[in-house]
Amino acid sequence: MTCKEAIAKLAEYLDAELTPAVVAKLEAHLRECAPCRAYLATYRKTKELAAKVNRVDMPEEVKTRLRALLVGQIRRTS
Amino acid sequence: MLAAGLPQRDRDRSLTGETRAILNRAIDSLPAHYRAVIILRDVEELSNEEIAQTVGESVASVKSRLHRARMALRELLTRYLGPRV
Repeated sequence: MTCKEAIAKLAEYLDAELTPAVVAKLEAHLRECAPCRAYLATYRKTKELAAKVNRVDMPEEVKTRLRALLVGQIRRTS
Repeated sequence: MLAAGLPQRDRDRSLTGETRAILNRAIDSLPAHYRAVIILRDVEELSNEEIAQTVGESVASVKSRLHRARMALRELLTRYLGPRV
């Protein structure tokens, strides 16, 4: 597995969505590759930090409108 | 953007004010479609499947977009926070 291939699989690795065979290949690469280990550490930390963004209590109607806005932003680039 | 004037929940006290400000600034400076997918997935905790269904994309497309968004956010955070990331 190359570094590029390893980096491309990090999201699914952290979400435990890879097959055991792919996990084995990825972890073998990580054992040998310090830069990819460092990348994984900062990628994991980024995910953890993003989850700590201030969430707010809001009425269901406002939440629905916010989600519609966010979905619209994604759709405009699809 | 998310917190202005509204009561907060699940606030993690372990983040310093400076780190929180940098995190909010980094997320706000992401392109809108990256910011949107990170908020839906990592903040609002929707599943990839829920986002895909709502947006009308494949799950693979949502995963790919989320990965690119996290890489972009990682780049900003490592620049702003250095070894704290």
